[in-house]
Amino acid sequence: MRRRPLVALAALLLLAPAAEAQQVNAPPGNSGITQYLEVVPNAGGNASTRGKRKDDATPLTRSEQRRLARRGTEGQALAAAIAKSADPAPSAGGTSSAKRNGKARPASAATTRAAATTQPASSSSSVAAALTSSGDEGGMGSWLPILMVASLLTVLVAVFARSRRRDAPGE
Amino acid sequence: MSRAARHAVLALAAAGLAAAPAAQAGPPAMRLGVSDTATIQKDPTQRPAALANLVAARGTTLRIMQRWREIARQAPPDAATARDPGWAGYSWSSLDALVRDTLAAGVVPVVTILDAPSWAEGEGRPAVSPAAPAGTWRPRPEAFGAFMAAAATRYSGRYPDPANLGAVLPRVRFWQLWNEPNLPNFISPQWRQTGPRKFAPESPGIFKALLNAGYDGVKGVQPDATVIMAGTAPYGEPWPGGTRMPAARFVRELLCVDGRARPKARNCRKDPAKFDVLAHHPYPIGPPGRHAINPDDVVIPDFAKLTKPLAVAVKAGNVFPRKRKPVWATEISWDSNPPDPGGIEITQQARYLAGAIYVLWRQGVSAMIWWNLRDAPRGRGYQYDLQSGLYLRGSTPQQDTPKPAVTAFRFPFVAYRAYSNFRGHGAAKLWGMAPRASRRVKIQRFSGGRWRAIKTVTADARHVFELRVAAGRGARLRAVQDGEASIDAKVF
Repeated sequence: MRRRPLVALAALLLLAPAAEAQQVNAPPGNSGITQYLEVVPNAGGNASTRGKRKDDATPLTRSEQRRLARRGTEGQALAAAIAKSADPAPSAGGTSSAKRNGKARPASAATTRAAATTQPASSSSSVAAALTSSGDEGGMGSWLPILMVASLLTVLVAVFARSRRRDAPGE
Repeated sequence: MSRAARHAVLALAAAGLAAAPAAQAGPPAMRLGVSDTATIQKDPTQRPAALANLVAARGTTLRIMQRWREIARQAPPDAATARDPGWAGYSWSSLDALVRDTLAAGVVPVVTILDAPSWAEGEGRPAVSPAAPAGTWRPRPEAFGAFMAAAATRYSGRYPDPANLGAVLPRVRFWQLWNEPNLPNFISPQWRQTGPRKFAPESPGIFKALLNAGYDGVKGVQPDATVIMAGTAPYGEPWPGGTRMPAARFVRELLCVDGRARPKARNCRKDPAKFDVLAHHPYPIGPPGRHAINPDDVVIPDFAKLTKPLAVAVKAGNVFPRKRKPVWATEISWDSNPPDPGGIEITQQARYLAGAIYVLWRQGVSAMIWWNLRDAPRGRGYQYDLQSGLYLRGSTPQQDTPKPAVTAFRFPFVAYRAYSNFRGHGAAKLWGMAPRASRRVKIQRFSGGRWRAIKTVTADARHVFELRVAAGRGARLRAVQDGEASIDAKVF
């Protein structure tokens, strides 16, 4: 019985950093002011999370899309969800001078609002990117999922060994 | 010595002791002021009432944001004309009135000049876009220097006032050169691509040339004026080539200093950065004590990321004049709820404001300019502008309602937990900046449904007092001086 919470905890610990790795923090109530957003690097390393191709609506690369497509309907649904909730990364352009003048510049303000309120999309794309990234942006690439799986296996083996020791006669 | 003479000496000594605190009393440890671009700057009819609200909040300083391109719409024909404040091509009238009214209200103006006219932008300008907005593309330093000389001459305290025959325009002593130069909104480009995925910082060099030309322009006319460096914005993309350059990286580049943890100066003695005050805009995401996540972003408790390289640069002679520089926070605020549903609770805003003053003071920051005296109008929605005013906006400034933040601005007071045991009993560290120097301050605690005095302390010559009291988590404390109470601070 005690194994289950441990395993769940291990899985959570492994997944949490990837899910939380990319975030855009906005000052309270100031989400229209693009220049004061705190952008924290994602699991792919110190690289821009903005769309790599201007014509694409999804933050996923072509290889990521292919890999998700190969996973059947589940993968396609995930790709569609990511594309649907894709947000443009915060652009610093625009609202600063608008703020100074009391004149709003709608486009960039709206962009920022989206950036500040759609963090889950960024997180999900980060997870997908982390799992499928080729590592060409200075991130860990395929090493990350390998390390994650290895860590999970180590925890499982440790838990299993411990339970075996406890069950062994004479203890 | 006769008895009478002894008495006379004693009386003199007593009088001297009594007079000493008053003689030592100086200005508060931190200069407090606001910006107010919408009302004070733009609306001359409502300006006196808004300035009266600023004075009522005990603000002493108004930061004026003046666009260079609004005054100099056309290019002066030559350098001598550009330096002449009387040239017919300049439009000074609104700034004249603003400076006149501000000083008449007893408020000190800090004039920030930003945004180049299109004729003063550099070569190779791309189309106007969010990456290179109007007025930001490689502004020409020599044009800026000449304009700053014209401005400093006009507001030197000796220049005839065109609106009042026989009178002179008042003097502006504080000049801030440019704004947030680590953002493309104000200086572009920020980076120069030097290879595939390789970028070199570009904006610090562009800004340094502007700063130095502006400094020479001002100091050539008013040698004792104070030139404040543009305040840097708090956040940037933590990778080279990003849209915004992180503040600490920008300042290190500007000061020719390498290394984040152990800053080391390069030799830039032949081309030092010229300024009297270093400025920054530590807009926070959370409470005053929350550090920035990225190592080169700078919020309220992170000023060491700027002052450490500054000290190294001063020592190496990379800064002119080669002496210790004051540090100012020329923009900071939190939106409050009400009116903005996304802002922090209105009493929390007051506590955060007082906390910000304390955390900045602790780091040696000597001025704080709050962004906006009154909330911005709702307009298209609260999310599009700042509702961080000290006053809730009414239809006119006379109808504005002071937020609790006004009390925190008038009499900043904070209480932090020094330690506490598992029951919540312990000690609290108190800090405040009293309205009057060298006078007693009563510390009161709320218990049994009323405020009870628990300790008395004397504010120093810079209005500051610090002490510890026995108070655990959740205790409500306040300071009172001459009948004026601070906000009540809760021990966390």
